[in-house]
Amino acid sequence: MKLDRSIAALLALALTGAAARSGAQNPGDRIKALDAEARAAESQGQLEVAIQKYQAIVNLYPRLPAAYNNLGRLFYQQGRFHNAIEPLKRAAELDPNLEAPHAQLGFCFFQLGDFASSRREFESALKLSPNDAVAKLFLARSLLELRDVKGAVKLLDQLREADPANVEVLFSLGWAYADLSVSTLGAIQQVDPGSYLIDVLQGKYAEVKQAYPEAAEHYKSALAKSPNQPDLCYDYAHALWASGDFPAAMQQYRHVLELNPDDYRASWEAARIALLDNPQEALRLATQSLEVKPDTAEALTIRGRALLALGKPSEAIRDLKKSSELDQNNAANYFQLARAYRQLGRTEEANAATADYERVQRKTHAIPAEDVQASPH
Amino acid sequence: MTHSRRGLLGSAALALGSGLLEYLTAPLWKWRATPILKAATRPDPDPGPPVTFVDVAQEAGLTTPNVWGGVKTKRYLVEVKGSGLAFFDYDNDGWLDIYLTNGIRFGETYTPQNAPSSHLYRNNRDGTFTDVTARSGLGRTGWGTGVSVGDYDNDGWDDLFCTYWGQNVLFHNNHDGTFTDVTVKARLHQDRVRWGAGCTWLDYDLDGFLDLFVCNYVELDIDRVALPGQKGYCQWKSVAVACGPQGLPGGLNILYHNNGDGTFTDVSAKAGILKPGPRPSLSAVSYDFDNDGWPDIYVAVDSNGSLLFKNKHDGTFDEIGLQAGVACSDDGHQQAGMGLGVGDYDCDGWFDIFKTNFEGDACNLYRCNRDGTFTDAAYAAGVGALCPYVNWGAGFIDYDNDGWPDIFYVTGHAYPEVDDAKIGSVYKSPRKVYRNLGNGKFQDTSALTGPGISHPFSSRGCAFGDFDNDGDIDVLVFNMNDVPSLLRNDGGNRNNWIKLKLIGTKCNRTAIGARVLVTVGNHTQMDEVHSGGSIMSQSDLRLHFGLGPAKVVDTVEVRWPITHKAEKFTGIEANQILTIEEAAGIKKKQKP
Repeated sequence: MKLDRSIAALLALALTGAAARSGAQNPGDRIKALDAEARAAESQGQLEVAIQKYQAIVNLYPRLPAAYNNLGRLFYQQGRFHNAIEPLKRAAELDPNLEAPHAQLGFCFFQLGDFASSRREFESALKLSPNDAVAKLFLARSLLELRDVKGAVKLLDQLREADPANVEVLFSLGWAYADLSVSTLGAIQQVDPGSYLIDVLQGKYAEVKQAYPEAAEHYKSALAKSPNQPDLCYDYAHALWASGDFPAAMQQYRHVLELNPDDYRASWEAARIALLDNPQEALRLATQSLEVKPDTAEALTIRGRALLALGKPSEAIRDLKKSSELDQNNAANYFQLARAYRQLGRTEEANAATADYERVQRKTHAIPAEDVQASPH
Repeated sequence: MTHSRRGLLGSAALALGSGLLEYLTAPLWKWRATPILKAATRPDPDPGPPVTFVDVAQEAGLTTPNVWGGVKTKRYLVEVKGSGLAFFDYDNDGWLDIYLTNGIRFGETYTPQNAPSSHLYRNNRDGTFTDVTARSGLGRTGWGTGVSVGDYDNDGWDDLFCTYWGQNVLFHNNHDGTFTDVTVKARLHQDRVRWGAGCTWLDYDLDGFLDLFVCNYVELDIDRVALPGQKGYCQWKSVAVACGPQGLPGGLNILYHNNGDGTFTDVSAKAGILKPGPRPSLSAVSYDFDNDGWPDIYVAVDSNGSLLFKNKHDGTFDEIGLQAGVACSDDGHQQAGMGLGVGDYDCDGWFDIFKTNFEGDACNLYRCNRDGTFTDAAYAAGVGALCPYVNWGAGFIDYDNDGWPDIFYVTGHAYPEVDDAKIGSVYKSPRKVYRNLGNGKFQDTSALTGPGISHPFSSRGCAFGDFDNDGDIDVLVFNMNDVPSLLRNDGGNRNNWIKLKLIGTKCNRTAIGARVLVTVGNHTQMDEVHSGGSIMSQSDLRLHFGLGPAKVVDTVEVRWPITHKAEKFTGIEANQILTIEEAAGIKKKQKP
């Protein structure tokens, strides 16, 4: 819609200018009148009437490129892509320096699945107007459809740099990366069909989809082909944890730590499980993690919780405070701090920590005003 | 009517006379002074053939499927949430009848003949039911969500409060099998569309009249809300689904005070109910969680912190969910609270809370620390595994009558669209049953408890009660766009049991808030008469206790609200239903 509006604005100027340039007796007035009628009809949703007005213009003045372009745009809006192509092509022929017909043609071909033609038209549009972000985005999408993933990623990276918050660009990049992943997977399968890396990649894809049991299965298969790789064992343990299979995850974390006692991730994640029924063990594991990497906020939180469970709120507060300094947006730290203060009877500090908890929760779960009424569980 | 009931207290001594009854007139029972109950008896580790649940809905005559939005896809959140149902004895014949809520479907037009409506089924006392909706006046078409039962005017007949996405309705029981909509007369009419969900009757100010707490879920305006997949947000695991509840304005809960003259006053602001602000609240239940003799309120909230309103004894409440440890998960994460059950699962004299949550999260088992605070013991108790299903109605029920409350809950995904998405989720899923092992732990017995448990449905509300009066707890389940399940308990009555119907005379007639302690040897169980709970549903108001092999109950102690007096009955024979009237003793004995 944004594109349509910009094209409409562009065409309004072009059409008036063209009429003025024609120099005929009252032709400008006639065109202006028809153009005004067409716009009025379009604003009321009467696209068919608007089309008739532009057809009247091109019948009267067959060399007005903007009129052809407007006609094509209206056909496009109606979803009549085949009908749109001829007037848009005519507009491009009549004024080779007009970008809009090329961009519109690109959209028509894109909608019709003719990605080679959409690529050609978007490239033409961008030559005339290199900063048209929408044309660039759809050129990238055309390239993706044509399997030119690298070319698409290059364009999308440029777009992301210009506007990091553009979700359409981010989505397309995600699509491109997924495509790259699939092609990479295919390449591995061709070179070494039995490689454990295929299972690892499939596990990673499953994790992206939050299909953790599936991810765990893939990692398990990978480990069967290539056992005792610490990082792979860690991936497996983590997927098991995310699947909710805590006993199996704990067993796997312990295996990771046998292979590499300095794996601080495995230590604190194992501590997280131990916390459920064995705070003493959680304390040991979290401490082991912190000895390797002292500023691990998650490990500090877990150790704080373990200390709390062991009835040592003062020591817990030290860890929880440090963790909240390292990660101010983790509401859980304030929640646990409030508990610790309550255990000590320090009500005011407990209330302050509760207020911090609620503040961070509100901030974390805040939804932009424009997106209210648009977010599921 | 109220005056005459009050009069009974003075003549109580005349009504006594049963050798089983010891009427304790003084001193006043001190709730806080209650010693921690000892629970020395353990369930039999080898309980014999498993109790099974068999779906007998078809044979029982519950054959009308409900209509609840789209079947394969749903555009709006109201189509997703479903509703509850009720077991209640509307005709006072001692047998549970059934009330079923119903919805509609967007884009369909209905005639009076084919419009889906709520239903009332009368218990034929032979395992079957008769649809008496037409005569009863309870048939309504609309998005009927929740239901709660209580005798608000103390006339001896239970009335029905029903919530809607639309206008809630209070139905007065006319004592003749019919009901009258008294919403406007009772001043419960609302001036705009709200989404009422769970609701519960309670006498929060102990004036002898039932007050009403109503959860409001979210503000839903279907003319404004984005459609599935729109704006890139209305997706769950990349599947386009109905928008909400996050992003939709939460609802404000309401506390209505019963004025004692058939009308109610909204006291939400004055009572402190509005203080936590709007939240998508789904289920509410009232129990005395801190043993101070006054009813508190717990509310399961979706996608936000759940709420515990502590009664301050002066008509107001403090919201203490976070401080008490029942607002969120043990690690401080907000959860999508759905259904809830309350019971004293460890038989220590303090009520515990079981709360169900969304897929990928664990249920909570908030064990009371005996000081009004709670610890989430779900994992340690064996019920804390991450759930592969979305979980809804729940309750503590002693399904095998071994004297220890077990856990039962129903499941079913929110979004039917997941079935085709191949993301590892399913719309229809089995029920879950966990047997209480008597040592703080539960065993998942779902696979052992029959086809009524293993057969998958997309369920929402469930109600618990003994519809065939055979001495074990059956379950009624609401299934989306389907017939209900009536899960008959087969084998629970191999153990002994006792069931109590309480009638208040000084307290509210339904005796909501009355507490019963049942002791066999040195094992004491406890429950309170309550409405609401599960999710948007009403269970049997009678209290049921399993007794294991014991053929005699040593003591039944009833602690009445308002007076806080305790009545003790000793040497009670097992396997019967007793009707006990406040200050008047055992009025009726009924055997299967």
